[in-house]
Amino acid sequence: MTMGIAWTKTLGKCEYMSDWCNCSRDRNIKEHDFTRYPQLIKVLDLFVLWTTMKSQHEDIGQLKAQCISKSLNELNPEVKGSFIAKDASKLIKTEPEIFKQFSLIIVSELSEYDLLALAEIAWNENIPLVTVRTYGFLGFMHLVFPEHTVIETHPESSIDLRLDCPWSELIEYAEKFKMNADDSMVLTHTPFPVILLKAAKIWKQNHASYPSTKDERISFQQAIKDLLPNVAADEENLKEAESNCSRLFRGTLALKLFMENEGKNHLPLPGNVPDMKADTESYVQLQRLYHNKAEADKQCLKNYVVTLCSNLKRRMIDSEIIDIFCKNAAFLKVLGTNSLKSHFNSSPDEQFSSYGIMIENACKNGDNQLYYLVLRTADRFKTLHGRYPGTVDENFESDLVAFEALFDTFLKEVGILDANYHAKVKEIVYAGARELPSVAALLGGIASQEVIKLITHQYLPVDNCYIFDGVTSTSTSFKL
Amino acid sequence: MEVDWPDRWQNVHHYLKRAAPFSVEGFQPGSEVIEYLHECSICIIGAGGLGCELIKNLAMTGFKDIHIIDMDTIDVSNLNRQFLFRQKDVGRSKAEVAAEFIMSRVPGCKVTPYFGKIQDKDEEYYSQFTLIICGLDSVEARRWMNAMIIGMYDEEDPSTLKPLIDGGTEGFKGQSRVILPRMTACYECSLEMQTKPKTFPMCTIANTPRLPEHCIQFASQVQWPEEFKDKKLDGDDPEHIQWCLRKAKERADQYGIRGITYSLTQGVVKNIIPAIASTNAIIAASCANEAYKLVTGCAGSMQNYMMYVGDAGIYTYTFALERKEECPVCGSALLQFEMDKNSLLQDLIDLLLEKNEVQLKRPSLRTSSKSLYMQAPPQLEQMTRKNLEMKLQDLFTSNEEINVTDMNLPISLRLHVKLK
Ligand SMILES: [Zn+2]
Repeated sequence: MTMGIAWTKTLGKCEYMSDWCNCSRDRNIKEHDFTRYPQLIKVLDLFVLWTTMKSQHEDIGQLKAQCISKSLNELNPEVKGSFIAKDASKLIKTEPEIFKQFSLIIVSELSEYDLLALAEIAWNENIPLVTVRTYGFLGFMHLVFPEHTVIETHPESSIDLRLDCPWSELIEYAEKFKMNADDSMVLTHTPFPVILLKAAKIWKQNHASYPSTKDERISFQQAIKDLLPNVAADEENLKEAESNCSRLFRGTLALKLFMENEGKNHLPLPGNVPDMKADTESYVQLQRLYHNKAEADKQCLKNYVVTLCSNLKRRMIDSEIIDIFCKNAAFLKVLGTNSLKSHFNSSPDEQFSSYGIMIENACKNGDNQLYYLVLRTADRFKTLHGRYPGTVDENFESDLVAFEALFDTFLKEVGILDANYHAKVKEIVYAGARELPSVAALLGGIASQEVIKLITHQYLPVDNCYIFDGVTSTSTSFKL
Repeated sequence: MEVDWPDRWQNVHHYLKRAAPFSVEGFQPGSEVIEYLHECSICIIGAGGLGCELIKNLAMTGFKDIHIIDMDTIDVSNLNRQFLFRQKDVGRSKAEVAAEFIMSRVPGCKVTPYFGKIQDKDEEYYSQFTLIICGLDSVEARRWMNAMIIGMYDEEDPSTLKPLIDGGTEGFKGQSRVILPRMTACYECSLEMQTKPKTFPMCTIANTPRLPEHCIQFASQVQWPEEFKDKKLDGDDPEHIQWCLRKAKERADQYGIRGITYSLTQGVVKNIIPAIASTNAIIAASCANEAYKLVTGCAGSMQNYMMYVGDAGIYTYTFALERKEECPVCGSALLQFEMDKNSLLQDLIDLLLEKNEVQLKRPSLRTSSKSLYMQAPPQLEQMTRKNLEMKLQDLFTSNEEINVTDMNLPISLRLHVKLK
């Protein structure tokens, strides 16, 4: 994988791009790899490290890009760092091709104009773009990508017991359990899926569909209890049956939608069974049933894949990937964001209309999202005055007034009249566009985490903006 | 401070030059607070994943007198995320290598390592610091440190107030918090929030195994001690893991259970959730940020606990954790039980060990007049051991005050047992 970092800084012109790791884009990255990557990508940290330590070292007066690329290699000898000592702004205009080689681009501190140009290059090549910045106690990150797929989302629970439409072997298995037995040992060791299947069977004799209203659900739960009159209400398997029945119905609804839309089909069974109160023999039998069915589903899917691949003349997909795919079939995600161009180039009114209520509420309550507008205003201030507000001592007081006026104008353009923001707006002027090492390190960590999610196609990246407020140590994510 | 070049600290000084909208009340900007930032003394407990990040962040923020304590040496497996360590450092003290690294890179920053246990040091030692930051993975060490700073605090003497900043991570989850003795909740107040390691009831492991984990725990907890009476199972020793794997597989086959793998065996034996470098970076950065604010007052502290989850999007929740009145460390702990007068002292101790909110390990009990059961020294243990089999009514009267201490934890609580 190669990764590019383009960045300029007010303190001095430097850009930096690096060949990150020599692993190829197609390499199949496994879960455990996740723990190996983050330390490679401590961009903001390293930046601060070097600006604060420049004197007394051979680095003083050297190119930051060069120093960072060197220290990256020291951090991890497997990392190949390279750099381009050119003005990023010019590079974007004159040699846009350079950016197309990367799997991902991280930007910190580019002007809005250059950022938009770079974002266009990245968007057209389907390269994810991560912009990250800190401003005093504030940190902001924005992810932009046309499409991102995640097979392994690692949900807390990926269990699908398919109790809403049991296959024949499962029905047979459930039939073997006798519910009217007096032997409480047998009853308390009846696995909860069996209890649910039996309750559902009785229910269907009197009802056309599964319970959907609250009242129906209560009476279904009562039916479960009636099935096991001799079992104490606090027995584990009974409790498991009750708590799983609500999940089952939620699952059924989602599945129903899927079936109607996707051609009356089911997802392949993941084949895992949760731990439950049962004796070993019943549990293992049940587990084997699910496992066999999952294997059969998987084989079926593999056959489709083979046919498809040969029809489309595509390379066959690895069997291992199909395994992972089946296990996660219910949790696949395809994500996408708006492009920066479509966001910035629309009129302010349009920009905010799609999430107007969110911003309006944030302004009213003084929530963290407000800082997004404040940061945009700071960039406007810079475009107007050639510097960020509060950076020159002599102009501090006048900057305060000018910045608040600018923000008011911005709010009016966006159509927000009721706002509670004064302290937060002032704070930006006091921050004077400074970079605090602690906040930079925090955003560096956050950005690395998201970069690795994007590169490994594992776990869910933030959708798509993140703001951290170092004063209150609170953070908010929201969609632009 | 001849090592400082112009503008070296301009970023961190910026917030100290004038009072901002979020500065704490009474914040005095100017040279005094700037000097204080560079001169105050900070103690970091732990030089592991969090510690490496912490010390780097603090040095970059301008703290110039940093002490770091860690009893561990560097292992090859640490190198992937504990970025101050290199291959050549394997086997050396983490605290010492971290100190050398930072001092070689950050001129003017003095780092004093201590290669040893936090328990080796006393009140006098800890009172030299302005604040203490914990980046540990051990609950016990944190409880000890927490009790130490709360014990040190004398409400009459503000100089004895030592804020404790605590960070912790587990996979994609983490938390950072600020503890102000007797003002905010302390570590002990929220002990119940600590997730217990996932273990299974012994009857399940022994009689009705259903999961591969059950078989592995049977191998590690029952079969291993049977076979190797004097050898402790070491989760880092591949031979040991292989042995458990083989035994667990045999048992799994017997019960028709699938899914026993080497990595699962190791995970269950070591009970590990892999550490993720980015989570460490985030939590350590938050701790350093709180240290900067606490020492200078340029902005208020977090209120007072931030939890962080990063696997699905990014989620944080910051809230004011309340002090617990009956906290055994910062409150007036009084445990009240009701027990049959014919119960044995051993029953009472078993009951105490079950109490999740105090999580005792090896409790010693005494009334004002006599020792009921003492874990140490050995002579006293031997003398009081016979009491374990005695009836409660023969040892103390109903609701007589009993003092409970634990040799591993610097806590002491009062216990009243109503005999019936
Ligand atoms: Zn407490």
